[in-house]
Amino acid sequence: MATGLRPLEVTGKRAARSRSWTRVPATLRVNAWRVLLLAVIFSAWEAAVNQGSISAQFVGKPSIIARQWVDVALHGTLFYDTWVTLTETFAGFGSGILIGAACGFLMWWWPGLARVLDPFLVMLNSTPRIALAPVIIIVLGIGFNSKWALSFANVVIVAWLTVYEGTKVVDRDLVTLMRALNASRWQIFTKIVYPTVLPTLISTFKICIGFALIGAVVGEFISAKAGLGHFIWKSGSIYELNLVWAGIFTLMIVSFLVYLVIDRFERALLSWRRS
Amino acid sequence: MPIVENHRAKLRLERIGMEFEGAGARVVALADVTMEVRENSFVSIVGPSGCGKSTLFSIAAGIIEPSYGEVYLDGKRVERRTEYVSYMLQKDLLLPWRMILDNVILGLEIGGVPKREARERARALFGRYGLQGFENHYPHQLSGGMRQRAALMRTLLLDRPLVLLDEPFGALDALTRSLMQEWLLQIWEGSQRTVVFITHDIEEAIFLSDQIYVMSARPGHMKARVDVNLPRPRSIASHTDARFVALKDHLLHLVREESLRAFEQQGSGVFAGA
Repeated sequence: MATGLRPLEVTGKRAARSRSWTRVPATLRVNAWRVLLLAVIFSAWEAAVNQGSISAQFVGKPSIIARQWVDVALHGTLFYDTWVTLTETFAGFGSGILIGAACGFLMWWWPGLARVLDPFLVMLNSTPRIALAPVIIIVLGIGFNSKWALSFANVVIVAWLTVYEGTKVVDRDLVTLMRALNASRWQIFTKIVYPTVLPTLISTFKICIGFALIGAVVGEFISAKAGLGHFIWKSGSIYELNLVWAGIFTLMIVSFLVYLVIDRFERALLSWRRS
Repeated sequence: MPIVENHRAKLRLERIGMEFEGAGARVVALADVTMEVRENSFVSIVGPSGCGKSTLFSIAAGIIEPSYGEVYLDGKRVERRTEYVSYMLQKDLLLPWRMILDNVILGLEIGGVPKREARERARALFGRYGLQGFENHYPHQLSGGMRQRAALMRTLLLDRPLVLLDEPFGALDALTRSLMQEWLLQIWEGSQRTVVFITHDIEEAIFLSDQIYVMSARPGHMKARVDVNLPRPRSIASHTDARFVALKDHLLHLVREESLRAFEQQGSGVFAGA
């Protein structure tokens, strides 16, 4: 800013302190606070266990968690389990989005189909898809397919409904204009309906990836041979609370990274929205 | 007063009627609408809101079929054929995900013109439309007036014999609006197209048109045709011409009568709907 205007000077000791602090870039400052927050939480936890007010056996202890976490990562199955959960999640996410979007668009193309299917969709949407888990596992077995299917079931309805609702809010005047321009139904679809709905669909990606992860992990909880859900459940069943925490923290980091990837993807696809 | 003269017209609507079934009651939107538009002339339609002007437009454009009556183009009857008309509404209807250049070629693209060729044809016009340098901007980066000019470019790029403009400047502020009117006249005088223009604004209609049709309250029909005998090219000075003022006075009375009737028709609905 090259203007002559400056904020009012703060004087004295406070001024010196705030000036040196504000010279640090904002993101760095925020990150510093974040690290501090984590440090406080974990030291308080550690201290509480050392002092004896909570039990290391039933709640876990940060220093042991860290040691065992490194151990399962280096010598155990943690990376393999993470990989398994990730593939299940992305398979369910990708197929769910594609099939769900296709079904949503088909309902725009054939309004009769929409009228017939409407109550069933509402039913499917309000039923927790996790309730399907026993059926899916019995039919598809305890391997990859059943987790994929659960993850898919979680995503497909959301994508389907999002796209269908999206097609309902397509500007009628725009469709009239297209018809005045003599556009075919396919042209109206590719040039108006699809681009109108796409941002709405993409904006649900972040929700959908979460749902996909839930499907995969719950499936692994119920019955599996590998995966982070299986790792957590197995550790819990033998009262290895420190390993349970290691699994949970891994899951948190994984879901956060996945979220970041989807967020980047979304921004890249919707770049026209920002100036 | 004879509303239709007996010579060949570019567009002729003959005894057009439109009825809708809505909420158990039958609504007569248009009743026996007859009008004609001479080749290369600029004709406006004014009338109270809800008189069916936009319905008439959709019929003239071949988007919807009337309950009865006929549309003639160059003396030939047309049936559900839309290739002869280009169309523009109050909303600019630019696609927010397309840059201006790709927005204005939409009609050409649908007509099967290759994208590259369409872009080239459009690029040449950006200067005349006051949009030079905005080819690669998105619609949200432009002002309301610029967006309407882009929408008009999309409409006129099509080279269709008939241009229908449905309150294209309705959403603009008064200053931008008067500039756009002058600019539209320049574009139109240079292009020689047949234009039908819908508006609520009597001064706008007088300033732009060769002829003005006044529509009645519902059921809509043509109540009067007024010839605008102001010389062209017109400018801001035309607004204070004695003939302009006399026409305005005459039209205001005609339209006001119909607006009052429309208002009474709506009755207490005006407040119930508010």
